Amino acid sequence: MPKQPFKALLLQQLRRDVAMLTGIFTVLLIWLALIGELRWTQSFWISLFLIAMAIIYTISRAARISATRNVSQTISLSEVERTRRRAQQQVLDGFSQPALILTHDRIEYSNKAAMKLFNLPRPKGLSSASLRHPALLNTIAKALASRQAMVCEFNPAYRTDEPWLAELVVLDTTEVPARLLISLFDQKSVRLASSARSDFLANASHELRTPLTSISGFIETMKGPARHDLKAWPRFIDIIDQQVSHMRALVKDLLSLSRIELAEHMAPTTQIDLTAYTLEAIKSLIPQAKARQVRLKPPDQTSPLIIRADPDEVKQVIVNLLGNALKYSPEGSVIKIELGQATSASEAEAACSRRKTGAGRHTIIRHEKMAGPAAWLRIKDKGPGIEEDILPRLGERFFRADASRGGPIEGTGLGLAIVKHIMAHHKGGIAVETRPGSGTAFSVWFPCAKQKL
Amino acid sequence: MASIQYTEQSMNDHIVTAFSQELEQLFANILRMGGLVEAMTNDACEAIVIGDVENANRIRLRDTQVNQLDAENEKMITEIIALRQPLARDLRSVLSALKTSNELERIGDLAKNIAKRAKPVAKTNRPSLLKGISELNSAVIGQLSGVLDAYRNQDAEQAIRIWDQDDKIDKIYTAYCKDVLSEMKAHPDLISDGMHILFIAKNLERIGDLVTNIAEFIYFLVTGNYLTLTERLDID
Ligand SMILES: Nc1ncnc2c1ncn2[C@@H]1O[C@H](COP(=O)(O)OP(=O)(O)OP(=O)(O)O)[C@@H](O)[C@H]1O
Ligand SMILES: [Mg+2]
Repeated sequence: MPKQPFKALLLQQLRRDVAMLTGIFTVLLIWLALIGELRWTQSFWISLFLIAMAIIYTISRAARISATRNVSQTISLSEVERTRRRAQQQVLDGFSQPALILTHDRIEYSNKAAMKLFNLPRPKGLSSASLRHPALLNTIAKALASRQAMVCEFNPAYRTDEPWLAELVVLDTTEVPARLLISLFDQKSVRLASSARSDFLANASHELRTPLTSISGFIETMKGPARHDLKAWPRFIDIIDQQVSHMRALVKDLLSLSRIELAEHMAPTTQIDLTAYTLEAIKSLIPQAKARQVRLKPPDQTSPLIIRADPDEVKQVIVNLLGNALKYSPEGSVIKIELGQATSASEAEAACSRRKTGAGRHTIIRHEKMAGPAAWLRIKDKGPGIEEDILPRLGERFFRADASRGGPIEGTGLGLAIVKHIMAHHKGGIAVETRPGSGTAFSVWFPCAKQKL
Repeated sequence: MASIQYTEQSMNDHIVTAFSQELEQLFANILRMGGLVEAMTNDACEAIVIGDVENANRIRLRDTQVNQLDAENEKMITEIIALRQPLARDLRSVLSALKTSNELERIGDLAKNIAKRAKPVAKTNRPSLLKGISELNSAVIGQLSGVLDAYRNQDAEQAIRIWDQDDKIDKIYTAYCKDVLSEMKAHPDLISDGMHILFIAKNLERIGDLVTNIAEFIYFLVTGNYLTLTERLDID
């Protein structure tokens, strides 16, 4: 576009005037020639004048046309370059977080998530029109000018609690025009995750400090006022011993939690027999059950159920669930253990759920995309049951229902959290059914290993 | 002059006609301006609510940028009309761009005016008075973002939706005004703070009205018809 529109306008008027004058003089020339009034020198000058006019007209037109050409822009890319860019765009499609590629001031491509975040109808467009956010646009301008990576925090919808972080990277520092890759991260989830982590640390240290305070309290007493009261010492030592074993249990649980978290992104590879592991776990808990006069009713299923799972983790699931059942069962009651196989995860979940009236039911986790047959395990006790309104909190770290009841039963509140983690790792599920006063049933299901026939 | 059509160019070959490029640039300019006043309005209200006078002063300075863009747009539009002599939808695009640019400039002025009141309001000893500002602000920002999205996407239906939703702002505004007035009656020492707050609320409500104007321009741009004015009259 010409810099001064009003001058351009003059040019246009000039052209119009020139055309008009040329027309008038042509008519005049023809008329004079027809009536024979014109000497040839005169007609020469008039013709010359007409030619000059035509030239001026043409020049003014050319000026006009070149003004247009200056702005029209042709970017032709080589076939190789186009393929490369298409590949880069495909990479963006693979991202789950919003990401876009900018060529100078134009969005070359944006993935689905970015289109959703910025409410874009098309994956392309001028960046200032599409992104609009001043803080982001300023950072883009800076990154393009300096050809350096930058970050910018901004708030796409102007809601104070939803900040996003944009990371800008120059794709190839030598390329002209510069191309930028912008990836956007939801700070809300990052903040939530980091606050969850610090919550966990705070909880863990609190849980460890409680027995520690009690231990040091008793030691103080034994050193101080009860120094000579040797008769009271065995009682103190018993309590200290108890607290120490509680701490040991806590540390053990914390360690296994962190070990499971570490391995969480690696799918289990070994194939094991769930039936054999269940029977083994039952056997190992028989002494404990005898002491509490609780009978463990083994499953009817004796044929193997092959699942793809980590042996130690499966053992831990069974022991934790059975341990809970034992711990919360009244003396002389029966714990019923069932095993089975189903054609799919949802079938397995259905097989575990008995839908008794008055019973509450809650799925703690369930892997949505679990395909193929599943093996399930259900452990039912005749304990006190769990209040329906706290069911959603099961599996939370350090959550203990009877802590609020002031119950006497020892526990760390990590057992179910560990089970939940393990089931997530195995892409399986865990659910609970319970009726206060009459008992609780925990069920887990694992995907079966694909067997070669 | 040859008639130049605004054609949706095929993106593969990147051959852009001069005119369509100019129009696109104009649109981008207007949306950039929209983004600026959007942020200005929001930041001004936030500064009011948390009493950040320093930031409010900085926000006031941003208005010059908005004015500059408005002047630039006006010049660009003159050029386009003079040189391209657009017709039909092109003409509507250019005309609505001119009007939208003016409305956005006025929104910028109103936001600046809001920011100006941060200083007197900062000393108020009744933060509960300011609570309605946040509510009004998020309603207004929602409308403004919506209308800018509609403008970018040339979406007449969304424009109508925005246009219809303006009475939500009006309702919040009237309720809030009543609250502030009764507070002022009960505590005469709050009268000067209350006055400022009422002006802020009024400005926000005005921004809402300007947003509906923009929605009308979008409707005109896309369809060539005018949104009827009858329904708007009874609100005032
Ligand atoms: N079979 C059950 N019957 C009744 N309540 C149960 C049962 N299993 C779990 N709960 C409740 O869920 C809570 C959490 O259980 P979890 O196994 O995580 O911790 P815990 O048993 O208290 O401690 P530990 O980590 O030592 O196992 C328990 O405190 C208990 O209130
Ligand atoms: Mg337990």
